Amino acid sequence: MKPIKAAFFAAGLIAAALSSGCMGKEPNDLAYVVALGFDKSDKPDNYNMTIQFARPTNISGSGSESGGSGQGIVENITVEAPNIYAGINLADHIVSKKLSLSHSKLIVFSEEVAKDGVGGIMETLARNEETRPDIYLAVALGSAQEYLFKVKPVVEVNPARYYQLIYEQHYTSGIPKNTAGDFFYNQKSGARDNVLPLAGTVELNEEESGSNGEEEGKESSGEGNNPEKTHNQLQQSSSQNNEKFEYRLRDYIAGQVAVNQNNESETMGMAYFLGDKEAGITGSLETELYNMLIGYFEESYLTLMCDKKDAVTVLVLANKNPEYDIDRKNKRVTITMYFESDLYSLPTDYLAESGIEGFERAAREEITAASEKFINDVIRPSGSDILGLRSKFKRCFINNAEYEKHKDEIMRYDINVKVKFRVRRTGLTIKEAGE
Amino acid sequence: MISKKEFTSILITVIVVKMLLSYPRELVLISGQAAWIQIIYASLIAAALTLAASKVYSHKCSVIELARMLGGKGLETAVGILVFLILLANFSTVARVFPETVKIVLLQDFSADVIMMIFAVTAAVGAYMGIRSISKVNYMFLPIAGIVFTVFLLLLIPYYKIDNIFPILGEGADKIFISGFNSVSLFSDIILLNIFIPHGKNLSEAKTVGIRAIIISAFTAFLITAAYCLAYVYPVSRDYILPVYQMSRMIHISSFFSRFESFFQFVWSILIFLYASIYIYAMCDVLQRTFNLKYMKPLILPVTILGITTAGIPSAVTDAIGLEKYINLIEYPIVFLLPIVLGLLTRNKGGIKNETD
Repeated sequence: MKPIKAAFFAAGLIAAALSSGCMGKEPNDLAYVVALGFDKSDKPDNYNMTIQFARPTNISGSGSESGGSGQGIVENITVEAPNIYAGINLADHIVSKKLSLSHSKLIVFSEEVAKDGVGGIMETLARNEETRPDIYLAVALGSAQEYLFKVKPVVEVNPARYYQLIYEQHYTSGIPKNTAGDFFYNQKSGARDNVLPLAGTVELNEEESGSNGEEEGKESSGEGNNPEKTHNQLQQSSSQNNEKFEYRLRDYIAGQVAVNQNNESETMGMAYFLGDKEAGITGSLETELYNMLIGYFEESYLTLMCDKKDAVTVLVLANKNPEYDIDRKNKRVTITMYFESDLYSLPTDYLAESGIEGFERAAREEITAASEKFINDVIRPSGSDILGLRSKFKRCFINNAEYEKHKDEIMRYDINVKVKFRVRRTGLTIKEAGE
Repeated sequence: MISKKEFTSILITVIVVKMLLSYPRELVLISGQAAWIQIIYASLIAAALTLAASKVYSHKCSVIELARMLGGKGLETAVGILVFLILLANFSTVARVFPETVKIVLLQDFSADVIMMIFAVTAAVGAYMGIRSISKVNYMFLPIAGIVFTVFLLLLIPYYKIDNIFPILGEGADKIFISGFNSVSLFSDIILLNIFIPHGKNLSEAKTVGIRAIIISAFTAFLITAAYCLAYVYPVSRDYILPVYQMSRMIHISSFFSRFESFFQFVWSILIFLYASIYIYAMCDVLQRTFNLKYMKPLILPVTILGITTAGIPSAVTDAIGLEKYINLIEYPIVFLLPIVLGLLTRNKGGIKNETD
């Protein structure tokens, strides 16, 4: 063999040998962080950072046939640090394996941290290649640490997948969608103000909490099956909605929903921001309206009041993104939303089919009224541009200098809402008048 | 001898590689979210200049040989050295930026020097195999890169936001059409056309190759820039050092498909290795022609060492990117004007006319 061929052959062998390794990053030597929580520390400019990482042996089911469940699948540690990587560096001294953020799915800020501003943390996330832009963010009512400690997935054993299922649901609309990437882009560009889902924990009374503690180590038999730890004290603090839109439903925020479950963590409602600071929170009903207005609403059940003063539930699908029409001359923004629906649940004596146009008109009016109330009562007083009006306003200008000069005037424009609502299907039954 | 398609693919590779590094950011820094208009404008100018060069170029020989025809040995040496320095500057910036960015995104635990050494060895081995081998490998690989790139652009569709390209003129018409003129430098690698002409079949084919390469590269550059402007809101798009890599990180489809950047990194690495091999070969070719050397292969090792040493001069990746900007500004007028001027002045001179080898 000629020397040059031998050299190529040797180079090929070396390359093949090197390619089979992980180049210093063996998966067995890594602990995968699935969630991070940030609470305010007693020390200024520091956080109590909770690091939740997966325990792969429990996830893969080495201990039992059904695999791990509840809190056994994750481990939490809390360190005090000024930023993410300082905290990870500290935690690396405690955990035998190197902590990796490459599979992180969730970052939770306590409300205190969110009100102080999360810009520094977002800058870290944008700069490093380890974290993904599709990490979910949430604001914890109370402590982020408590939320992460109380997360005990029951029907999903992979914690990263659990967070994905919770924060990326397409069939509910009680939480907003906003990833770390979106948050950073919006905050940095000023194109719109951010919203984040609210995360919270249920509050059990003292006696029942005790029984909860005793049972922590036991395998759970399924979500909502433990009658001994049932009473959620926060449930009654949510307000009953008597408006026609989502008639008789409660306007929940996280922690107020469940009365009977093993997983004491919940996600419901949203926190809205001004820049990188939290400006306020809303419940699930207003979050649903927000999702409709911004175009994140995909499909969900909607309960409307019918002329019998009773509730009608329809499955609503957004069949087109909302349109924003900006009229600079009359200083007015018109938002048009497009929905189609299926009748799902009606009072027995209500013949919606015979007066379908009337029902559609009523539904349009109810959604319009609720949307305008949300805009006037929540969005306008806060001054937060969560609808992204500024980004839509850009179309009215030819260059950035002109836009920068006028961009704030859109916040003073009148906002009208128009709704196109059609009932397409009536389920498996169709009622005729005279039956 | 390299075929027409292989020749075109070589030029496309060397031009497009810049778009895979930080060039889209350079465009956004000038005209903001109107960078896609700027690239159309720059492409039209580059196409016009290449067309002008092809009209006046009447000899099937490189610019170095044209210089000899015009001004004898002295001018030949001067032009040869000038062209060599341009190629060296182009190669050095890529040879510096690529290993540094590979360290950031792929091999964090490796020393950038080791990555640079591997890069240099690969480039040298490629150049050693000769232009025919490089062109054939490049021609085979480019369709694969094209497929990955097309899939990449399609998967990005959910992330495109039309609001991101407004206001339509971005930082203003003056920025696009006056400051943006310099972005013609994207196409400065077209100088390789004038170096590799003797390797082609005939002059008319080389002229077609040049125009075709400009059109395809311009279209690719437009797609990348437009995708970047649509996917990232301005001024966020000013900040990313590797725009195409950054876009590849956005892609995820539910929980079963994410980390598209692994495909991107594969295509990116191979294209840059091909780029480096082409450049090392071209530098050696220029030296051989300038100094009438009998053999070219002994030059590969010293030229590679020279290229890598020059690449190591900037102290940090930010300096390398900054330097690349200035090098582009200086070299693109030379790259586009040299063939036009030499072609014009040698138009009526005897020599190697438009014959087939």
